[in-house]
Amino acid sequence: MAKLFVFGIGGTGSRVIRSLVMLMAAGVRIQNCDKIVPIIIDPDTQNGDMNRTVELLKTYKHIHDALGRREEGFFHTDISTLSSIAGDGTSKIRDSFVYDFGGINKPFKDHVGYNQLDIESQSLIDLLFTPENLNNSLDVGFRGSPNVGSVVLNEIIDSPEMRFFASNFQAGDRIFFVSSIFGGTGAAGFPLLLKNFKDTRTSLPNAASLNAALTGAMVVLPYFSLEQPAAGVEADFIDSNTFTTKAKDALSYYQHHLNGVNAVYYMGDTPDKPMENNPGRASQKNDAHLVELLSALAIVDFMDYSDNELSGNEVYHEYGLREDVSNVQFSHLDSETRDRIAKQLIRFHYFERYYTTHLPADSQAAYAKGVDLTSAIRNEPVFKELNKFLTNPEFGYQSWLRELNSKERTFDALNLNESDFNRMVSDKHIETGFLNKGIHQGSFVKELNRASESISDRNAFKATIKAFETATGTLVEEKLKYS
Amino acid sequence: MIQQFFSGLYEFVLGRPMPANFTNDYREVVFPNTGLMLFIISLAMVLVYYYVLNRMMSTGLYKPRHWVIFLVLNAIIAFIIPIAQVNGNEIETHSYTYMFAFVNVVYSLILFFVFSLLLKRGSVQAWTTPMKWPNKK
Repeated sequence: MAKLFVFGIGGTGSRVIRSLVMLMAAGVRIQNCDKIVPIIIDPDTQNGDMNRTVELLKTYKHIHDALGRREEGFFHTDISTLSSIAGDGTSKIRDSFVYDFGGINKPFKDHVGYNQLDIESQSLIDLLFTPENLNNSLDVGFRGSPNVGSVVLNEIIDSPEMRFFASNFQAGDRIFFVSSIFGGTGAAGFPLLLKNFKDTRTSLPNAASLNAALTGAMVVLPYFSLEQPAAGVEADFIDSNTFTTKAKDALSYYQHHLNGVNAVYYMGDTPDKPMENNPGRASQKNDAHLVELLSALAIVDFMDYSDNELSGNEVYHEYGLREDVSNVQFSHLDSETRDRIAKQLIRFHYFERYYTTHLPADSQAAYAKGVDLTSAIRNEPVFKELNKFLTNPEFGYQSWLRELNSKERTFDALNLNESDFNRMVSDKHIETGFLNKGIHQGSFVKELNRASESISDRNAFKATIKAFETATGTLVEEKLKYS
Repeated sequence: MIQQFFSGLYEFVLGRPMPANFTNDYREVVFPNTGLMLFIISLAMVLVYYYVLNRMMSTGLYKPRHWVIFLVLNAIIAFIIPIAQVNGNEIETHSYTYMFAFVNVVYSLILFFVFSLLLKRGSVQAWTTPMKWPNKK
């Protein structure tokens, strides 16, 4: 049972995993593995981006577990926390999607024991770190300072979590890193973890399997900028003017020192309107961005390659749109990308729109009445989880899509504000006429009833999701005729 | 045989047909005709509702209120048939005629309901109309 361990490092790592979860919910297929184990590494335990991704992962897992193991369809990809992969309940680590830093809440200065060092060592530290680096508390993360991150993160290799990960790593499992190159946590964490996993003399258990593991990485280049405080204003902030310089330095380092990775993906964009400058904690909750959605596709692409294809020389991928446009639709994506996600996302979007808007009025429809859907929605917790997944204002599908639509370069392929199913997909509208009403509530419910006829499952949740999968599939193929 | 069956069915509730000089007309013509028509029309209405409108055509008329509309339509037809039969056979109209029409309406409701229970399983859109029982998923 091959697994894919996805290390999402820093705020960008969390945000890319958020988009990956949305793709998995839509049923985008991740090949060559049976289970995905996301591990988020971020010392900022209050980080808004991280916490909402964790909530999303938990909700996804509830829904997946309720649906059971399947080969395709919405929520079919299995995910697991690190502690659950042993499957025998013997793990001694916390059951969470997040690496446990154990509450490091002291300044970096105290973390390295600056005051106990001799004067020469203190001078060396003063040379390598700014006074802000030394005095900033680590529980906010590394504030875009990879020099701090590389010291703190070096310690996690000896942690019980990493030892547990290594002990349970099996031949055939793969590793994927997602990190930004211009920040603090991601830029420091990725090369450091890679170096330790690929070190033949590593102290981690199961070293041979780890050394030989097929490994991919999504390196996110600068794609946003942050507001800068006005001159003379004392404010706690990350200077986004340094993003490009830091990215260049890191790329130069990668060029010579990045060994053992089989495929590296690069993605970036010209920053648009600067975002609010929140160096950490709950307020660091950046809107979802198209770059994160496309970065999540790197994981899908990496897993599409067979072991033999990846075993040769390192390969490098860069992503490009077909056209440099502000409102990105499916037709602006390369055909390979489009084939991978378009139909799945359209189907999921139809499902979400119908489920949240029209389903409450369907209590008398055969697909709903057959499984006592109205009472199940009221009483079964999994329906509440599904509702959370779709509509939660913090992390739900609706807010994710709305955020993707709010940038200067927007993901405009699906229109959340459009109530007419015939016009929801931006690059393909359904022509309607006197005898052809396209997709509407009536035709949708007919397809749901038709679909439910062949579903023998009496579990309301499973039967409903299956009915929507079949119905949306038929509507996309026969009414929308999307190709 | 059919004459006896339908005469028995209506006379069981209504008693002997009135006026007395038309008793044989009722027994030999009106009751069997009405009964057969009731049976055939009710069956046809149920087939149209479940198999034409909610299987072949998927018109969206799957809700219980749509089923009730067909039930009432069938009842109206069931009320008209006996009166038409009586008038058509030049039988004097009597309060018995209207009681007969009323009983036919009651039978139409029962028959429509029974046919629905027996045949609804074959409908795609309306197999849970008017209720899920006795079918299970």
